Amino acid sequence: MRWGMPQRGVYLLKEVYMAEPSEASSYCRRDSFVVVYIVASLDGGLDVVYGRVKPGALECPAATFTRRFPRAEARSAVKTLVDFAVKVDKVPLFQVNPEVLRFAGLCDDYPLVCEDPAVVIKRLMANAADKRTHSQRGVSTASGMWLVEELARILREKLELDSGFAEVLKRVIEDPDRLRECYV
Amino acid sequence: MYINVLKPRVDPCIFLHSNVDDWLALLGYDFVRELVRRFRHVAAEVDDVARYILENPGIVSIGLRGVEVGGPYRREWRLFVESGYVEPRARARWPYTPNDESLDVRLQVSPCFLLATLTRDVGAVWRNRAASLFSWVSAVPRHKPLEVFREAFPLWLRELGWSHGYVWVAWTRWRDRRNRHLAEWLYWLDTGRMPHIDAIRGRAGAVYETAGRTKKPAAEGLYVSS
Repeated sequence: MRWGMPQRGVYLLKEVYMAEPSEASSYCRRDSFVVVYIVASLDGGLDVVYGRVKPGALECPAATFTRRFPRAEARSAVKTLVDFAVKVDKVPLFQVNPEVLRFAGLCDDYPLVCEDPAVVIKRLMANAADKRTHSQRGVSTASGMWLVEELARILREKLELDSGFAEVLKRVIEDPDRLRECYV
Repeated sequence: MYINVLKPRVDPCIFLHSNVDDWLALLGYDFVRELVRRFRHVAAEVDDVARYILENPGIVSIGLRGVEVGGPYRREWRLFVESGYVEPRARARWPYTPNDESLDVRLQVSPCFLLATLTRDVGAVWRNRAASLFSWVSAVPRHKPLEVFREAFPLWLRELGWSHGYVWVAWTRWRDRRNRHLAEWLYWLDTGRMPHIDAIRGRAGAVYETAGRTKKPAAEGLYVSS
């Protein structure tokens, strides 16, 4: 651990979802907060940083936790960081920068973050067609369920973050046509 | 301290250039070895790295973070390595052919710009300077852009490149500008290579082969040395 902000590195979260330093500073004036950054440092000079405040002139004390990884373990290093962000810090998965996941080769693990929804749907349709031909031959595969599972997971996540979302969901299920009105 | 500086003889657009021999010749063995080392978790050798990068062009700058680059293109490389930005300008030079045709296609961004990290500002540049692109695709593709654009580009535009030649397309107008970026796109979609890198490698014939089809065939003798 080291006091201060990380010197350089690629941030795990999308810039849009990170808080402005001035915004965070106003919090620490009232209470004694510490801004925490977690860094996976890869050999050869790439740091992947998880933090929820943009780098900048920050008035709060900042603490940086660093762990070194060899280059070949970039994949597991980033995966650990994402797991921490999503499971411990309860950051919605969609705030993660897809380019970082893509660099780490984690797109197979988080397809909906990396891929365009259209691509995911196309692949799902191909899978479904595949499955139909399989089932005609009498072979059953359970691989087509990943999108449904992924969607369920996202909805659950959404509900955890915002309980008001349950009400929205209930109304949509009651009357699906109401959802269409929103897009007109 | 300058021992480890890499000196590529080409700009970052090489990452969209699918010819691996050109990578070795222009980036140099040290650079390629460093690349393979840095992308070892997803690819085992140069060919795999090249394919992986061509399929996911937005990630190169992340992988290159911290590399020291010198040489004639150091300014562009530093910008790319440190902030993930590539200039959207067109790189290729096309022999002049008088041309007053105008195409109603606004595509004033080079395919190289796919390498730039897609921040909000970069997205704005895409929207403003490549407005026509978004009537063919809904968003800038971050995965397999070559395949996506090959499907997405309208056929009449591709045929324009085949029938009249890239040089002709480059000198057509869009409002008060020439369509030099568009010519780069068409060349890239057809060959998977960048025209200016082919020119550096002495494949001028491949780039300008269609010059003979233009309205000024004399230009061929002037510019094409094969």
